[in-house]
Amino acid sequence: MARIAALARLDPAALAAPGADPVRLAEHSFRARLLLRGRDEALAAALEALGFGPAREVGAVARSGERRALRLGPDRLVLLDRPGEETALEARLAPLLGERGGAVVDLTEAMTTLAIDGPEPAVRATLAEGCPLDLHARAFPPGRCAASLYGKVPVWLEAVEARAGRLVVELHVDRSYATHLARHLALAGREFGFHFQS
Amino acid sequence: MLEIPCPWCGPRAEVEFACGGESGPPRPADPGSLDDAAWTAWLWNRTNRKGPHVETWWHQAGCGRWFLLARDTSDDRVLASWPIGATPPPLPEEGA
Repeated sequence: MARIAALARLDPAALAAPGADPVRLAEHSFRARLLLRGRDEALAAALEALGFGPAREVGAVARSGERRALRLGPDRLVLLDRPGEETALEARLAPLLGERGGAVVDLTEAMTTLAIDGPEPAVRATLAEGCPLDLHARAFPPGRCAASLYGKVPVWLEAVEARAGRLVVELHVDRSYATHLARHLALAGREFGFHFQS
Repeated sequence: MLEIPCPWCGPRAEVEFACGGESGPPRPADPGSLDDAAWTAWLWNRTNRKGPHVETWWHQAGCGRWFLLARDTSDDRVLASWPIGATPPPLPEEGA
């Protein structure tokens, strides 16, 4: 069956606001997303098996090529990878974590990823409109992640990269909240100009 | 709004948390041996004290963990937080 992006029915023109260098929103709907639960030792074993460095501290992000692992809590890790990798990753991790009292859940279809990209101050201000985190560059630099809220919607945030004054932040959100979240972000980013690429 | 220090995530806004109420006395080992009054007292009665007070909080929108938080109920100051099972830090006495 064909997969449909969570924001497929959202009209880009309805979210657009003029601006010279707007905040840009894009959706990465089908990226592989897996939630790993377990004690430190189980999560460390999973990270090692996938070729990651350690991500012990909550808020740390480990990278291995295109794969990323977000340490969102002492007993939880979120694994992100290219679309289509989820089945193989789950099959590989399930016995490894199971032996150590942990578990892996494939959340690829349950969630979607919204990426916000733009001038760093505009991106941080757009996020701060709805998110109670300390979003100063000191507290939330690239390579950090956090589970928090945007408005009333639970989101996982990751500051992905900053380059030449621009910042990319990804928000991982339950699919059914994605349209609401996109509209809220468009309102928050209006003053800087907003562009949604469907 | 309170700024609550999660033992794992650091200081976060109160909206990310849910309060589980006062950290009560341990559950009786053999509830069947208690009379109604003793059971009711364990289940419902809380100290409701004025001053330093230990509560359970849940970092619902964050790391998803429960922890203990000491808060002064007279002025809402957050005194300390620590994981359940860890040794609590020294807390000021009531009226101190």
